[in-house]
Amino acid sequence: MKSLLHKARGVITLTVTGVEPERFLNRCARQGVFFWGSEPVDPLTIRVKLHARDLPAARAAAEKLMCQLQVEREEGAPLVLRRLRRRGGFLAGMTLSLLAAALLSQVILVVRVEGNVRVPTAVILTQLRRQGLRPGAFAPLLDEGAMAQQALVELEELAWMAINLKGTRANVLVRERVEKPALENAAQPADVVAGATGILTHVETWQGRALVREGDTVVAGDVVISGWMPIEPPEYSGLGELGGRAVRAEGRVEGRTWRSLTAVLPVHSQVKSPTGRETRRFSLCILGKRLNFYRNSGISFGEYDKMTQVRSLTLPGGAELPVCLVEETLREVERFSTQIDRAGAAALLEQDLRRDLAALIGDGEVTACQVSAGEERGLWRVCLQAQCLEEIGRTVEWPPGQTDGA
Amino acid sequence: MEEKRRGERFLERAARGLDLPADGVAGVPHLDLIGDQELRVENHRGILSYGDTQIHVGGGRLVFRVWGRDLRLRVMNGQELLITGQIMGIEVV
Repeated sequence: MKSLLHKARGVITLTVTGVEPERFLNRCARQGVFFWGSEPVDPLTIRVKLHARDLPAARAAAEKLMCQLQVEREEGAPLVLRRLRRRGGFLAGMTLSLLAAALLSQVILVVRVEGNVRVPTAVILTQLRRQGLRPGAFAPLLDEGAMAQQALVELEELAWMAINLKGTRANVLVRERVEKPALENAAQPADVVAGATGILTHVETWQGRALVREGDTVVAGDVVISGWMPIEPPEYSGLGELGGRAVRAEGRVEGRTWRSLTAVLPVHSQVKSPTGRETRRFSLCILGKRLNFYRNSGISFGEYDKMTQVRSLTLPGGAELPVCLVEETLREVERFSTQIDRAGAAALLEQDLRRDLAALIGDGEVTACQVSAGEERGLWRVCLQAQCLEEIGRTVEWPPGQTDGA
Repeated sequence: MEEKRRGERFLERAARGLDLPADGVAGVPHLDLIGDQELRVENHRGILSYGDTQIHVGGGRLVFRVWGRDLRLRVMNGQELLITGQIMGIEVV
């Protein structure tokens, strides 16, 4: 450490020759010239080290004592700087390098978003880019708090956001807003109606008045459990109708239903085939700025497929730097009409129909299923007919203002 | 000069009589020998001769001769100096 400090101040090794070189040391000590590492070379010569700034005082002392002073060696920062002064280009380059290192370490290179599930990262990044946070932004000029607040205003699905700038990285932590659950208004009268046409297999009334029983056939929209509960007069009282009470009908209504779903696909389809002609062009993206390595951006092909491959510069830890090479391949294609593979089309459509059916019946089960396919007016039609056991009761609230049931 | 020496002697005697450290009161040289490798001298009056086998250190009315092998005057300022090397003897001349 001491050696480093000496080097920073510049160390000069000199020899003093005279009749009494010891007097030179005494004089230096009295005048406050700090020296160290002295050694006698011969009875008339002493070698000594001192700081570069003390050299003029040492020269004056030697002159006064009629000693000869000779500088043997110079080392340390002042000497390096003196040498660099003669090499202007190198000095300028070094200064620029240091400046660049100091400034570039403040430039954001990576923006990472964490904590989002529903809101896509690209949406958050786009919003932050509008606020000024993007690869290439100068970190000291960014106001993280204001940016986070503005982004929260714009992105309503987010409840909280924090932006942490660490060197060249910006870590964005977000928490998504929890959706408010739909509240069921228990005071609003409602009926339970049939959601699909079928034969009822199970009717379980929890509240309200059942209008049907097991085995009955219902059409979609029929009221199955009514929310209107008439008050029966006492038996043999001779009283007329006493009115009723409106409730929110609840219950479980299961039925056997028959679902029929259809999907079509054109028999003839336009397909693309490459002609063999293709062209490639490259560009470099640095901090969001694109640098094209081609002059003519025009495309001579009538129809073409464009494939873009982006190769990003990645650090060993996996972090992507904002430098990427973009390779675009433009491949000329020609279109022609061809017949589809009917078996493949049928399988694809059947898969889609089964998925739609599963979404329709929810927790219900399919007890029988039949699939038929055929061509009709240039379309390949696939029809799925299924017999299901499912919950068909749907709660339908009464319109506002209605106070009594049918 | 003689008057100055008389004054120093008086101060020395006074310090001894009052049981005070003479180096602090009278500026008498103070030598610290650490093992046989390091000698620290306070209140010196300068180097009188300098060689790698012997060094003469001025101490007012006294002169100290330090002799040994590979002697070096490591650092020195107006008050203190440090001699390193193989110190074999110190003699008051």
